[in-house]
Amino acid sequence: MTNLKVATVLLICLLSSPVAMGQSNSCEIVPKGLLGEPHSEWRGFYDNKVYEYSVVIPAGLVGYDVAPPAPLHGFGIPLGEAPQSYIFVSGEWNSLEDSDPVDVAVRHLRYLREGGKTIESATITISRLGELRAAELAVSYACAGSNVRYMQFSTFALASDGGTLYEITLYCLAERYALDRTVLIKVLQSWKRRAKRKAGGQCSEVCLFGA
Amino acid sequence: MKGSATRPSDLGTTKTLMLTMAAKEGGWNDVGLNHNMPLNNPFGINRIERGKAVGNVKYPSLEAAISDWKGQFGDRVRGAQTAADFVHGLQHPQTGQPYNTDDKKYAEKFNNISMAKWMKICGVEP
Repeated sequence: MTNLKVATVLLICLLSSPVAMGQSNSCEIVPKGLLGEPHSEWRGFYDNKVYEYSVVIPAGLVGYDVAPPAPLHGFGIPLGEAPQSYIFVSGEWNSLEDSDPVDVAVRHLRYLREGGKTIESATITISRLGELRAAELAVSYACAGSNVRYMQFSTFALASDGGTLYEITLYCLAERYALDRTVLIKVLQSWKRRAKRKAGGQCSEVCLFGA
Repeated sequence: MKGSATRPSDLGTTKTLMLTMAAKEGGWNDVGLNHNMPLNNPFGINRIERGKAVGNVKYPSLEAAISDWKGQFGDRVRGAQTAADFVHGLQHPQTGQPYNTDDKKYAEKFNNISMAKWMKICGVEP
């Protein structure tokens, strides 16, 4: 991946009061309920025909998602020993109509602040996800009343038609970041966008998937 | 949404929240709509095959899709008047798997969809 730094924001939110409107105000790394029953498990090659991407879950790891009928966006991988890290892989409709992945990264940084996190450093860089232009968000943060440092490293990309938003995020303790990033890189490098739908709403395999 | 079985008021929730749900999961851009409109699937409901999610359900009608969603998730959002209550209900059911818990930012994403603004612009009554 080639990175062109476009913005570096240091100690970005220290002067701002947290706004308690977000839901992600806990410091749990792996979401509660991820392994509740029923759930789906994925290993190895993962192909999401609804959001048109594929990725490889590294050997020895498992991706978990809620069981249907909830929509299938992707999965989450708990990583390592407790306290586990977490890699989240997702595709979703671009419901907020973003035109640039940098805007997505900025908004996710805002989510952290609104969730009451203390942002220690944040960097947004331009990158690639597969063939797509992407934005990488690297944030170091702490939770209220705690000296424990966490890292969030996210890659956001928009499909060339702008209709679908992709996200791959690593959440971990800061001290685990260097180790877990090697796994994240494997996931990022394996990510591919599926073939596009045909014009005029006609589909090939994608429509067969939902039929 | 027509018919007594499909009104948001049946659940004590709001049209705005249900339309937000549809925009989030069914999509309201061309790509999302091109995928889910032929399936009559406004909420992106998934189907199971051999215990795994294999794609979006094709419903015979929009009313059938809404009734199915109501049966699957309606109790979770019953009475919800705010986005926070709506998502909290989805993700904290008394029974069943929490909704899309793998996405730690799901609530924030839902909250950021400006459905009320667009309903006003388009003349849709709340």
